[in-house]
Amino acid sequence: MDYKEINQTVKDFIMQINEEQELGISEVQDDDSLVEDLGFSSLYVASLVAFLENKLEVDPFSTNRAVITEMRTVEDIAKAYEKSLNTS
Amino acid sequence: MKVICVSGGSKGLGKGVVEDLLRHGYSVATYSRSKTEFIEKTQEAESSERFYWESIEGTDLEALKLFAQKVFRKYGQIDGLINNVGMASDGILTLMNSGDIDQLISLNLKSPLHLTQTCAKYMLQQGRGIIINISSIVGIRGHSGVAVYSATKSALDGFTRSLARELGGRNICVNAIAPGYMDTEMGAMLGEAKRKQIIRRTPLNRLGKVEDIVGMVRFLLSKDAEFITGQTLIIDGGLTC
Repeated sequence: MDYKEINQTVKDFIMQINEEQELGISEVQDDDSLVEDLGFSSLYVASLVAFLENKLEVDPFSTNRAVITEMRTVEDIAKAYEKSLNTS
Repeated sequence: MKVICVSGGSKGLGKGVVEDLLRHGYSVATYSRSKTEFIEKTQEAESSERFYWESIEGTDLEALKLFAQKVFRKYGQIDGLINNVGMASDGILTLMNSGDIDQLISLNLKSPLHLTQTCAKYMLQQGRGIIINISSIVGIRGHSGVAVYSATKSALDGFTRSLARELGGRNICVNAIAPGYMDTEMGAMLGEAKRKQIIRRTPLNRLGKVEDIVGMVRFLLSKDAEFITGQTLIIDGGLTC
């Protein structure tokens, strides 16, 4: 899976959580902050990571390859998974 | 059909929970160290869609993670998790060897924490789920000779409350059931004198039975309990009242 597909997968899951939790997000941009722009709580971030782990079969945050608290934007998340997939 | 994972479902309370859930139409996935006669008979009687069992050492954390993964891939959902696995150890703390202390903590605490971590990830995706931790009244009241066991069960109660707060926003309920002394293999570790003493101090005048607990498990899995979370429900015939 290339970066573009990973990025789209991240955005798709963000929109899925948005619909389930009725967060009112209309569009997701690469530089959107998960917390400040999209209104994601830590539980929604955990849900996003759970969706991505199941879909991509890697968890960059369980092996200390990446630190979840340092993930600010949508792009940060997509890049962490790209790096993890390329090194796994 | 709802799919429930039950840790340690081959004997005692876990066996009772598995039997009851199967009888009430749930699919059940469980593991235990060894295959008991109950597991063999259930495998023969039930289809693989209704019943799944694996041989797993409860302290093998990686195997627990793989078990939950297999269950989710097989059924496409995990609606409930019953953290039942556990062992009791009778003895004054200062006389216990450190290996036994570590074993109790590994099986009674680390094992449910890690299994829950994996199952909760699937529940987060589903946006629903029910987690029930089998605790004990000795996690609430002090009883001589079970200090380490008590510590693990108190920890499970704390885990229950905090996890309920963590996961509530995704419609995942987390509760604990604290049975009193029971007429199971674990309860048989009590000597006859201790057994009589406990019955004498219990308002309902007997030890607990597996049937007393399985009804509460089924209730907590039901829609009727959908607004209950973060609680430890004591079922002890009134011993702690």
